[in-house]
Amino acid sequence: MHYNAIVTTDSELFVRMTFIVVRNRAPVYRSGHTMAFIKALAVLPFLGFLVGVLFLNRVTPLVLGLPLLMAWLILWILLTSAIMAVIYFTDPANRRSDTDT
Amino acid sequence: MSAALLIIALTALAALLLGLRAGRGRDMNLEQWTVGGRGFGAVFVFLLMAGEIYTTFTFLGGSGYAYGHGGPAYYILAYGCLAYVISYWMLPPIWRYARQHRLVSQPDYFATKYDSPAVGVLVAVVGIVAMVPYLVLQFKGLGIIVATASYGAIPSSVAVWIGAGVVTAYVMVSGVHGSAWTAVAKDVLILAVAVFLGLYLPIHLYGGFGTMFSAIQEAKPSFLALPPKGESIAWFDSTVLLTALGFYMWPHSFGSVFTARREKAFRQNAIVMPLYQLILAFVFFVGFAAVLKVPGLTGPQIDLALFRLSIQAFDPWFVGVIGAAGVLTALVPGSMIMMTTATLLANNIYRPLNGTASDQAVSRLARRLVPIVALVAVYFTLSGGQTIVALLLMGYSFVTQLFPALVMSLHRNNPLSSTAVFAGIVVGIATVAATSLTHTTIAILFPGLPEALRDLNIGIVALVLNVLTLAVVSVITRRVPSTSSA
Repeated sequence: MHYNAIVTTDSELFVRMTFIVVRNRAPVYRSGHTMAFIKALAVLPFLGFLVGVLFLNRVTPLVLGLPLLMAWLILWILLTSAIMAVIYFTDPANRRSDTDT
Repeated sequence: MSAALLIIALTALAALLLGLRAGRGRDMNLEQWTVGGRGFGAVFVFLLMAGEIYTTFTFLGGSGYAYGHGGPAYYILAYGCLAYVISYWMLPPIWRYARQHRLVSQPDYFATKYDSPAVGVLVAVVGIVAMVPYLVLQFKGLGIIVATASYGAIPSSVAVWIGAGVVTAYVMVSGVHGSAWTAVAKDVLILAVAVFLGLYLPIHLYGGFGTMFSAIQEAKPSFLALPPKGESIAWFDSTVLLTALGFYMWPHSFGSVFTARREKAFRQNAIVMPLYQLILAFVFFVGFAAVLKVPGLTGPQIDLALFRLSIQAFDPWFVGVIGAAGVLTALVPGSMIMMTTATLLANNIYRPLNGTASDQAVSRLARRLVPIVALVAVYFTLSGGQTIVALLLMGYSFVTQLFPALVMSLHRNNPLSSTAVFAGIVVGIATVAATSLTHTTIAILFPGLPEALRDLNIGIVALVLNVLTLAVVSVITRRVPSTSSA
């Protein structure tokens, strides 16, 4: 089997789903101002990981059974992914046609 | 032959066959061999990049670090995420430029961007010096895993030879295609094993996560947070930041960027890769579970925590499955590093020195260098002592020195001259080497600093000197009217 074919289907499917989500949720084109604001969200993981530690360097109280600091960092792993998803789905660069450039 | 050994042997054989088969039906020129003809979709790029991160160092070192150091191990959770945030904007322009100029390696990028073969050779040397200890570490981990999981039946030196042989064979034949396919097998296995161990051991041994962490907190108060001194908050922040910047500066990570067919792959990866970091949390759970159950491991022995606990808790056949996962975490990154090192030697050191070398000659040479790279790594693995870990940390600081010149190269009007880049990298590297070899710390350099800053990672100093050199030399060289800027 030629694996490139499989991969193409997978990533293409992902891109299609992306388009469906973007079209359904964001029919109005965002202004450059809004885009800049959304991209600024990328600063949050840096604050969460680097500044958050200053205030949450504790073991107790355990959160969901985990040490507080560890739970905080895991929360930020999830938030980082969510933030990058928001950026991805609103970034016009990803709305261009499927061609390479 | 024990059940454990049989499973490990079959896995190694399967990896070999999968790797050999992966390159079939392709004309293996250098572009195909080292960057997969730039034809990998998002899923493969993801697996390659993830494959490079989940190495034996994560599997054994991650659990070992949690076991031996406690809270400071959390830094491994954080730096990857920040690197992925940066990658969303950093990797697409690198990929576009590389495709436009048909580049196959990291030194190619620097040499072309700064229009300076000398910068290319320097970047290649830095990369090779940083990668060899990384490869040695994979082989060392492989030896430990096989020796432990075979209950001593196979000495680690034999395991190292066999492992090196397997990787050499499939890298020579299939190049990056072999790595990508074995990465698929590896990721499935490591994901399953890490999540299972991370859930099962705390519940089985302690009755749950809350009880396990409460018990550790009682026995070793504050072990699960950052200490006030040493690996403190200042250490955590500076180390996370430095490693996040250095993350994609490893030549093999940088090179895997070139395998993508579309630039979107990187933006998609920036969403998924952070979630992949969660595997590390499960690896940490294993290390923490070992704290009270297999106490007394110190120094380099902490890396054995995962296996010591597993041997206590499981039947030999399952120890074999864990061992097989461990072996794959050594083979996949090992193959990427070997291939990249050979490519750098042939394409970025040999070729610039022999201007007439044809593409075919370079391609042939790269493949022939693979066994030589493997032999060098095996030699260091079997002869080297603990200095390897010191070398690896030095390697990380080395590649981080490439970051400022790289970021500036993405600017349309890059003010840096090639001379400045050369000087900045040299100054950065020299500082890293000097401070590492003499074990200098910020506390030694600046004894007057407040406590909070004394624990800053020494790599910051090298990076600051590097940036200052870039700035100063750029200003000086620009005043000379005869130099044409790139």
